[in-house]
Amino acid sequence: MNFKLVFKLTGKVLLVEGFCMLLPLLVSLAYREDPRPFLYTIPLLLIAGGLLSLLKPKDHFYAREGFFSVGLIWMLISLFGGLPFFFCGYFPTFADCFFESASGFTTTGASILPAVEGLPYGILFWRSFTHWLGGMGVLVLTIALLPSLGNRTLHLMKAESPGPIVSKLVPKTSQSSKILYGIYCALTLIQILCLKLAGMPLFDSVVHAFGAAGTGGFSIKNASIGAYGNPAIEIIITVFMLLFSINFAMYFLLLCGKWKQVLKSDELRFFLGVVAVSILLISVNLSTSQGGMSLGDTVRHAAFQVASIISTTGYSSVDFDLWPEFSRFLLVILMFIGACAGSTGGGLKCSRVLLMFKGLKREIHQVIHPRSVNVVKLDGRVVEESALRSVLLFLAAYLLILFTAGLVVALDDFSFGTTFTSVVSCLSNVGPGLETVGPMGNYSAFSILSKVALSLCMIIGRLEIVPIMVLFSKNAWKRS
Amino acid sequence: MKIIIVGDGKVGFTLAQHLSRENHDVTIIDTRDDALRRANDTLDVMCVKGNGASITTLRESGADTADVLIAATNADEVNMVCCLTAKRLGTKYTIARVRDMEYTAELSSLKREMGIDMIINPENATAVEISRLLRFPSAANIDTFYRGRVELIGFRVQADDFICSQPLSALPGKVKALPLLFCAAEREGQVIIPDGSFVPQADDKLYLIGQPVGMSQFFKLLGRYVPKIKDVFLVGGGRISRYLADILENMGMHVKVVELSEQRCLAFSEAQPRTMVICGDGTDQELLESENIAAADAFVALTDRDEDNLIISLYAMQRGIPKVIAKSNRQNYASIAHSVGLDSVISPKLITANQILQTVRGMENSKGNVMNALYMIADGQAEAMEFVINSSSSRLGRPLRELRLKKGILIGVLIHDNRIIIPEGSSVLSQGDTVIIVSRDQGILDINDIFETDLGA
Repeated sequence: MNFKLVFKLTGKVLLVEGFCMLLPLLVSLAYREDPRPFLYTIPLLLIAGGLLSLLKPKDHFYAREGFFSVGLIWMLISLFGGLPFFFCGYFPTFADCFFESASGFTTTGASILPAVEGLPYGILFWRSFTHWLGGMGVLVLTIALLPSLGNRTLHLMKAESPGPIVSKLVPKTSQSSKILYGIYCALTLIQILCLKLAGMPLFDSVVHAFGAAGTGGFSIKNASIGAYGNPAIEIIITVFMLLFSINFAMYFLLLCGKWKQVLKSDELRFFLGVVAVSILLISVNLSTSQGGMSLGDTVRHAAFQVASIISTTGYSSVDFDLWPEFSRFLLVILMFIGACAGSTGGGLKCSRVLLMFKGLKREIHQVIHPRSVNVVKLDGRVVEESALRSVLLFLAAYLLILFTAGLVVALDDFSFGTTFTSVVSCLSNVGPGLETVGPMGNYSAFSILSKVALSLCMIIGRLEIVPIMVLFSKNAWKRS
Repeated sequence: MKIIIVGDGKVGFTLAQHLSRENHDVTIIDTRDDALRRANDTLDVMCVKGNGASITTLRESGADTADVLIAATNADEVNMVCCLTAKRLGTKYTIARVRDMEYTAELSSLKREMGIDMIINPENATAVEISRLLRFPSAANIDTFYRGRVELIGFRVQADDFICSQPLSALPGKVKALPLLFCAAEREGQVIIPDGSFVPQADDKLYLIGQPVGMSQFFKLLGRYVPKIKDVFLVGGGRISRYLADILENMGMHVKVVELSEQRCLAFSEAQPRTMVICGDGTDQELLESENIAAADAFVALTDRDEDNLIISLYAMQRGIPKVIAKSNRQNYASIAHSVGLDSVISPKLITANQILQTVRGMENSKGNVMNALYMIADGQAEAMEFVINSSSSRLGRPLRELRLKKGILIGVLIHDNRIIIPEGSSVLSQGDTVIIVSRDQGILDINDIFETDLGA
């Protein structure tokens, strides 16, 4: 392991984080608040990052260095990102700050704050800004800003970007990340504009756009988006949550005029199919079991909640914890499925679920015709056996972590629904679960141990397990 | 520039490595996953899996907007179809590797009919390179400019040479009168651009630029002119040997080939009736002795196995043959061979890659002055470039002594009205001239880059 290079990279990312923190500092100055949380943190970041960037490593960078540094960097940015929360004094312990920061960067949106409405604007802005940074990836941003990182940056992008198969948009990695961030910024700006036009105050539009763009879900209202009671806003956010959970390569293809290729994408079709069917099922379920709501409202609320959960954002327009059991269960399934690969969303990813189904179908076919030869195809291309195998292993690892973390959280003696959905929600980077951690609830009741476990779950889920596993593997720490 | 490379073999990979490092957008197409994975893991390029001759794959790789497509797969036909298709899709310049001897005869019509802009035949290129070395046995390497009318030759100085230990300005008038220029020197791994006060020492590698006639006169004066090579001994009867035998025999040399496969021997003999073809194992010293290897003036090892080539070359050197050349595709063997005194090691893959690189680098400059050729000399520490001067060049019509060149740059040869001139202080650059520049700097892409900027145009 080339530790010097890993640390140098870490230093550069910390520098980028330090500069990003200037924005919330400006916000808190503009609202004439106490800027000290940021004034303390920024120098710390710049000094630590600056010192590490001074290292002169050998140019020796392979996949393991890529995974290792991504794992390490995400742990560190979450720790440093929690410092402003710690300095502002609204959070009881540092574990809570780490939870909130990890929840922000991993775009989970789970909060330990019972009420957010009294918090300073600077802190609220930073909370949502971490969503935006973490959504597309801090390292992708660093690659885009600092192309000098060398020609092996693909390993970093691979480790940070969600999805089973990572491909570049253009030959140069730094160019690819610039394009991704360009699309990301453009969509975010459009959303801010739309929200502003729909009547949301500017600050609220910005933070909610950040939350939807990163598919995070931190709101600055206790009742989330439902607090505005404005159907237009709900529809805008529904649309943008779905847009941000589609593979960004699709937008690039659209920009290149290759819309045929977009229409042919198996993953996109699967994703849209799941969304449509879920909205339909929940609407039917709601209108048969709960009367008193007009058809339009029912569909709108169903669509909002489905989009919010499958994109792993976690906003809510109503308290879906009060919905009938069928709808609640369906939402938990959507938490597992998650968004498309290459988007800002979390979960297992649609392409993995789709590959799993295709693999399963082939396996059954193989039992009936033992000598038949079948290949699994995605978008008309043959999927390598190794990719299929890694999908299955990913699922196994996902479940293993789910159960382990579930056992730890179960020590707090909450109901099964709370325990299970809190872990699923954190691992899939959704945010709200059911019951105690439902859309109107929060995570403050958990013990410190559970909070740390859930924070780790969020990072593991965001980085899709492997980088954190590499970070904790004994072999990775050896010098050779 | 946007460059597509079809075929991720040794040549394709080498090209991708260099071109991506030079900041081009490189896309590689191949059908093999493992080859692509290696490229993806080590290079900053985009990899596309698929058949490079198919329109879908080419479209996906962006052939409609690409500047260059290089087809370097194993199959000639695939390469040609790749170029044809890419050209129709809108690629600006296409390069195909074509090695079948049957197509070689039809090169010009292939270029015209199929829209291929450049065809490169690795075996033929290698044979040309070897034949150049055989023409000048005292040189370790030769590069040519201006359609072969100007040569750049590198040779090692020996302690008893008369040029040794005296400044270049003190050389006898006979030498100074030759149309030659000492343009670079390599000493202990450092490159020096020499002036009149430079003192050559034993074991320096000197680079001379000038006309071929002057070269042979110089080596005669140096007492190292090996009287023209008459007998060449080749081991291995593959395609390179056949091209080489053809070239050498046209130059009036006698060629003897040893080849193991009887079938290849027959084909060889059919194609080159003047060559003496011997069917036998070229690595067998008994056989080499019975064919009187020691009487040969030059020995070239061209079997398919790098290791065999190096070992039998060492044997030939030991038997006292003045000029020994070995083919080796693996780069790392070359440096080992240098250390035991085998100076001329030739790699067909590298020659191919170099030729293509030169073309692509030349195109980069197409908006300014056209670069016709570029060679790396002294292990890549210096470059020799040929430029055509057009109206975009500054400082035309002024004598050279008034122009200030950047440090480490030298104008080697000036070609005015088809006459080859070794430039002096009074020489003038004018439009339409060709100049050959030797530079220690690697960033020269335009003729205007060689002048000190503070003077102003």
